[in-house]
This record gives sequence, C-alpha cells and structure tokens, in this order.
Amino acid sequence: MALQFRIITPMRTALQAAVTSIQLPAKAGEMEILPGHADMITAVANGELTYKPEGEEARSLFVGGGFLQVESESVLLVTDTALVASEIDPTAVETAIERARAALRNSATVLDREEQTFLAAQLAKQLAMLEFTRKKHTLA
Amino acid sequence: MANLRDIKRRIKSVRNTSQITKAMQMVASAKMRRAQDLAIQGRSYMSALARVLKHLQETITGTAASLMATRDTGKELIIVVSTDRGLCGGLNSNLLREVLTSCPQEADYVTIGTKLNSQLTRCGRKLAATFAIGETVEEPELKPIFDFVRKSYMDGTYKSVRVVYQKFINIMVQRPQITSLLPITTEELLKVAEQNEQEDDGTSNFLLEPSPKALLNSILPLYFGHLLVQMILEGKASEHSARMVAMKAATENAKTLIGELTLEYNKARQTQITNELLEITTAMKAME
Repeated sequence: MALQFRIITPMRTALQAAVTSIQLPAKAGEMEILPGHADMITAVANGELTYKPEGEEARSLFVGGGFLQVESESVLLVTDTALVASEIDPTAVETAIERARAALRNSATVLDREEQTFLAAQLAKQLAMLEFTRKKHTLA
Repeated sequence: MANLRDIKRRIKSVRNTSQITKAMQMVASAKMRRAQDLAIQGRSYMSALARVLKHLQETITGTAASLMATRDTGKELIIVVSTDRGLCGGLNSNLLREVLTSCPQEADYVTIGTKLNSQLTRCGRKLAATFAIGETVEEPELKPIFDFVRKSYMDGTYKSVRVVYQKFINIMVQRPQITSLLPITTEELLKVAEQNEQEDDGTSNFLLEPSPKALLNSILPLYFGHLLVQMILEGKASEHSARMVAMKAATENAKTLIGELTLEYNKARQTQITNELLEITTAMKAME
C-alpha cells in the first residue's frame, strides 16, 4: 500500500510519486503520515519535509508554508515553495536574509504593520531555508 | 518619372514596417512561452488550493469568515484585466464588448492595464482606480491592488467583486470570461477545483489542525490572492499570444503588399523604357 503524494507550487508540480511515508513540519508540530492515515487538512510551516518513495531511500526537500490534505490514500501538499537542497543557493539566501533584516531594522517606522509581518514571514522562511541547506551540507 | 520614385518609396516604407512587426512578433513569442507556462501551471495550483478549501468548508459549516460572507448592501466592483499596450489584435475590443454587454452600468470599475481606460470612461463607466503592471507579475507590484480590493470589500463599500479577463485557451483562441472573486462561494470553489481535476469523491470528514478557524483564516487570503494573480497571468498569456498572432499577420500582409508593389514598379519601369525607345526611334525617323 502506498500513498499517492503530490506537491504543487504556483510555478510547477514539484513532486508526484508513490511514497510509503512522509514526515513534515506541520504548524502544530512535526508529524508523520503513513498509509491508512485518517483524512486530514493541516497547515504546514517552513521546514524540511522527508518522504520515502516506494522501495527507495528517503529524500528530503525544503517546503515553505502551505496546506496539506490527506484524502484516503492521496496526499496533496499545496505550498508556495518546494526546493531540493541543490536548488538552494546558500549565499543568495544569506544576502536575502541580510537585506530583509536591514529593511526591518531601518524602516520600522515607515512600514505599516502588514508590510512588517510580510517581511518577517519572508525572513523566517529564508532562515529556515538556510538551516536546511547547512544541515544537508554537514551531512554530505 | 515621379511614379517610379513614389512606388520605390512605398516599398521601402512597407519593408521597414514589416521589419518592425517581425521584431515585435519575435519578442511576443518569446514572452508568450513563459507567460503560458506560468498560466497553465498556476491553474493546477489554483485547483489544488480550491479543493483543499472546499473540503475545509464542507467540514466547517456555519463559520462566517469575512471573505466568504454575502452582503446585500453596497455596490458591485468589476476588475477589468486588460493590457498596457495595444497592437494585440481584437483582444481589448472583445474584452470591452464583454464588459459593456454583461456588466452593470452603475458598478465601480478598476482596471489592471491601462489600455481600456478611455473607452470605459467614454461609455459612462466609473473608474475607481487603475493599475499598470509590468512584464513580471510579482508580489510587491500586486500588493496595492490586493490592498485596495480587500480594504474596500471589508469596509462594506462593495458587496461583490468580479473580474473580467481574457482566459487563455490556446495561441489562437482567447475567451473573455467573468469570474466572481469575492465573496468566495462554494459554487465558485467547485468550478475552480474541477477546472482540470477529474475525480472527486463526495464529502468526508477531515481532521483539522491546528483549528478550523485558524486554517480558514490563513487559507482564504491566500486563495483570494492567487485567484487574482492567476487571472492576471491568464491575461498576460492571452496578450502575448494575441500580439504574436497579430504581428505575424501584419508581417505577412506586408510581404504580399511588397510583392504587389514590386510588380507595379516593374511594370512602370518597363513602360518608361518603352516610351524612351519610342521617343528615340521617332526622333531618328524625323532626322532621315
């Protein structure tokens, strides 16, 4: 028994595969999905998602915030970002973090609250992405 | 002979025009590829999002999220997604016709893309705001549009928001379409969800985490935002395809025109030579 797992981002269908397990960072905490899971909808946070394709080694990728839907044996993840480690450029991420930090520091008075939350969310995502790549590099 | 020179001048100008249209065709086809990919990929993202949202909504009944509430008071807002530039065949005029036939006179209008502004005002439609968008459809550029729509919807100025845009069918066909954006209704969700998805097996009860309300509050703005982005992307894809087709036709027309003019030019030249020969022979005859 395998789960039909699909990851869809606005730019592409990032993944479509039969998997035996999925570990993901849900908003409420880390969770694992195995075949036979109850139907569920959950919010997903930034972080590392690990899945095990049928008969293969586990793989992992970085996902930005989004939503996961489990419906009988099909799992659908709708997210704005889904990248494997090789697609992330650590230096670019670092500069993006610096920029976001500077923007938040300098113009705290000029930005309205909505913009601040937006920037902060972007920053959190970039930080999570950086952590993910660092971890991959130390493993490799 | 003046006639000869005139024809030559016309051939030259037509040739110049055809070079311009050829270049525009090439630019449009390069942009079209990207815009098409984005629009088509975006569709599956939208339908996935709509499916999740639909299930979510089935599970939570009776929660009144402000973006889903229907109201009786207030005006209608129509968002018209046109292009910033012209030279794209009948795209904008078809869109205008659709707006004039199926949208109420007294509604407020917002245009994205500036090309239709003057026509809409001439037809007595009230423009509330207009936004120009560049080549890329990206978050920071669209933020003012979201903010405007959301704010004026939330404070009760408008009871509903609809979008008129050119849906991209294929390179040759783009169809004007009206989609309701706000309030987000179940029927609309169904339509989007089934747009390019097959099976859908009734209702089942979903576990919701963290809480139904939190989920709904984070997914609704996302859905609303992406729906609008999607329609703008469709508009872009349609614009570039229509421009490419129009420019191709223009280049071909120019080629035929050049052919005809060249024929005329050669005829005129031949006549001139014949006339000169005639003059010479007559002169010779007179000298004898």
